[in-house]
Amino acid sequence: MDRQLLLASTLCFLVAVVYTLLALRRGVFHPGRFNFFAIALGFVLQSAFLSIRGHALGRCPLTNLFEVFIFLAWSVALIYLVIGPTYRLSLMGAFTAPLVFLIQAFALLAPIDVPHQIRVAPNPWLEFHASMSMIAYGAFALACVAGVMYLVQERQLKTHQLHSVFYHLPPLTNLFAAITRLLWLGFALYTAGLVSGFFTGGPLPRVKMICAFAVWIFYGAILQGRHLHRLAPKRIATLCVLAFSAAVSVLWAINFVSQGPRM
Amino acid sequence: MSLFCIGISHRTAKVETRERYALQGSEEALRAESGCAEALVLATCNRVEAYVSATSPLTTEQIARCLMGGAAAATDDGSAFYRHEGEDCARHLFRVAAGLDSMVIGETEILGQVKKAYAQARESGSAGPLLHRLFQRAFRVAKQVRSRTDITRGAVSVGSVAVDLAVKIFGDLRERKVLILGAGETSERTARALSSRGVTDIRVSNRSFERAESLAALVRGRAVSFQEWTKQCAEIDILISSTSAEEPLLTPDILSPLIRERSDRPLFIIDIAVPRDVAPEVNEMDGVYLYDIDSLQSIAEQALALRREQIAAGERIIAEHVSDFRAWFARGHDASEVSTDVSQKIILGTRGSELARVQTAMVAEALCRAWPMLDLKVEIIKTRGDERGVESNETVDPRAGRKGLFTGEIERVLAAGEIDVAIHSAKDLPSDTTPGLEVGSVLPRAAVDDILIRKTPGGLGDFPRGGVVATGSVRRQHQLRWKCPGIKIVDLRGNVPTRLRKLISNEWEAIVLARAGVERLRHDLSTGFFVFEGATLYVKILSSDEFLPAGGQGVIALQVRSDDEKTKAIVERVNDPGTFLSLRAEREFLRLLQGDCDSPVGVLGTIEKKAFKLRAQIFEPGQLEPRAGAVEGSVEDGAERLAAELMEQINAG
Repeated sequence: MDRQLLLASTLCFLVAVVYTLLALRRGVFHPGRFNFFAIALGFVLQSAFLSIRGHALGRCPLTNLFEVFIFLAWSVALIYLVIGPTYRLSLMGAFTAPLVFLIQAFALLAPIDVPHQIRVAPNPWLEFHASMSMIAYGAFALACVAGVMYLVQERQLKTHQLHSVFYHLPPLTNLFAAITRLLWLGFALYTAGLVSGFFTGGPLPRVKMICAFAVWIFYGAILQGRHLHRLAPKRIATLCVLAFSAAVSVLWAINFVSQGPRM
Repeated sequence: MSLFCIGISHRTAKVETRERYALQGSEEALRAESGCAEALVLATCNRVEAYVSATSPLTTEQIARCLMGGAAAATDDGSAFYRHEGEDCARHLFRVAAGLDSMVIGETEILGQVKKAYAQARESGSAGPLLHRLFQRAFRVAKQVRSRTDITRGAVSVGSVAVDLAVKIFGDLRERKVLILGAGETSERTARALSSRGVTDIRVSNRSFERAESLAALVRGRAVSFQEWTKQCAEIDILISSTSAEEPLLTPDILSPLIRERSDRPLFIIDIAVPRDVAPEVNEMDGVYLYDIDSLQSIAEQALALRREQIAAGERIIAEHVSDFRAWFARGHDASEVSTDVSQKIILGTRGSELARVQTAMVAEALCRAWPMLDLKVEIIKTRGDERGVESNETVDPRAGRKGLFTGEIERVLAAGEIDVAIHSAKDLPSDTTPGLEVGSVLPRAAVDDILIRKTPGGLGDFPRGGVVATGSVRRQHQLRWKCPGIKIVDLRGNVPTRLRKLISNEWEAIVLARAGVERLRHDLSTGFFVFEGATLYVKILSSDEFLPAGGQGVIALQVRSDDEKTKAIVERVNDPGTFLSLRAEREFLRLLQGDCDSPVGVLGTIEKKAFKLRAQIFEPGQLEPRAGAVEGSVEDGAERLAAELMEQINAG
């Protein structure tokens, strides 16, 4: 039942992706409400899945890589639904849906939904740490999406080749402001997640700590560069994409390298 | 009855030929000379066309001669004329109105010209039911083609491309600083275009300081010494350069140190000089966007190409409407369809505000859909509210005592039989019915919500303490105080555009308006923002759970004389029963309330499936929170009973 919900949710994101692709192919691109509602429905189904899984496990569903990816996809959709309309970045849906779809489709297809062998008692600090870190990843993912939108528009402006999608992208300065806010939001959440990790009471795996701090330092450095005006907006947008790719890789690495109990 | 059009356009005739016909023919002359039933002449700089409906055959030459004012056409003019019959005529007009047949594809000016030609033909009585139907449909088609395709997307002139790009880079242009280098004509035009989009800080630099000063005066800017222009690059956002220098004035070496001081603000450079003033390598620099005259022209051409690609999408929309029109046209020849309605003339009375005119056009369209042969005329009536400059789009509550300001004069004219139907915003009507008059029908209700309009994104929760919100409605003032106790509220009057202008020019945080009024003025709120006179305004819809609207908000009411059975039967066909029931309940509640209470009040009736729900909020003087109530019943319970129940509940609570 829970997996069917997830399939339905993935289908919603796929519908949003197909809608975007068809619109692009026709050369008519309108940032309508369709993407928003498709993502919202996908989010509701994701939430239902996570809720059922969480009840079955008796804890926050972050016990294996499959659940981590679904939680990540859920966080991305959540941050989009909260941030997208606020900053009138409606076209962000067109860029968010493929990302969520890919994460979720990968999670469903890859043989990674394996119950974790080591069982530990539920720990509120550990759950807070894990969920906060995942939601931070959601914000970083959206910063990455906004970064891609920035780079697409920047490229078109530089090369003087304006396509249909250009006319529907938010202004460059607005996008950059959104990237900055998303980075700060993600960084604050990630810091909270990181700090809470020290209160879990359990042993702290070295590799996991190094990876987590590497991600924290990477994003901290981007924000520092932004704060001191050392980095041009285009570089920050590029770094957002790179940092998120690195962060997802780290998430993967942590799962394989970490030997200790996750949750 | 046959329908056809005959004409010449930029596609078939040179300007010398077109201008011979442009000022000659008129519909009256065409009807008089050819004996056709209906005629409409559309004359623009790119085309001269006659749309004709006639019972007997008319040749192209006959019509061409009429267009020449009776004079014989030149011998070589004949081949320049085209002729479209029946549905081809409809297709041609739809293409023309949608801008698909224009020289600059997708241009929107043609629609205004078609509307004007139609209005003149209606005024002179030359356009009858058939042309009325055809042209009303053409306006709908044009609107759909514009909204559903990218046919109007992208600027197609150098100046507008530059402005569009500036908006794409910076968003809001009001705080942007512009430097004009060299006092050329194109620079001036571009600066004016930017100024029209809100730019106020314009600096002009030229080798001759006097010329800089004179151009600065023209664009309301200030002159800057030519020796200092490079320093300005650290401050400005947009540089428009058009000097006659033979070597580039701006190179990466010159710009680099200045860019460093600009932090992360982009710099948009428009170089329209030939030879170029700015070295092309500057475009490689981070955060700098350089466009020379060729690239601007190339974008204009790209936009045109993009528009051309949209023609197929536009044609698909047109094909659907042509098919509809064909079906109607075929039915129109059935004797049973051509009823006595053709002789029925209905005069609609309305206020003269833009919103009132739009609402009247909506009523006219609905009536014409229901009664294709109806002959409609619109009478603009000045009301006391208009004379005092008070806007009807606002909630008017009993205590404010303004109710009726916008309706009294129209009701008097209706009662006197000078008009047949009075078009009102239902919330402007006093809750006590005027003797001898009644609301005959209502159009389907638009969105009932109030909206918060701001210059920056955000909602009610984002206001700083003491932030100013403007509204002229006493109800909204109470609701705002209730939900945002920290804000300051100021009074706001005027029609919708005036209020928006006041928001832009004042240091207010926001204004509150009715969503229906703003949307009816063709502002698309679905994206959470809209552009008004160059300024981007952000919209938040206020939940109708807390910001309960005024009774009748979002409803267009058609008021008729109680004893005018014929008109009542006509307007009844466009009535929306659900909206009518809700309005009756809301008005009854207000009527009951006026007897014993004079508080600002919000009331809303809604129907979901068969359940009829009526909610109300009453604000008492000195009380922050309203007295509220809600009752639910079935549609069969009746509006009056539900209103009485609600009143009882609130009084008891």
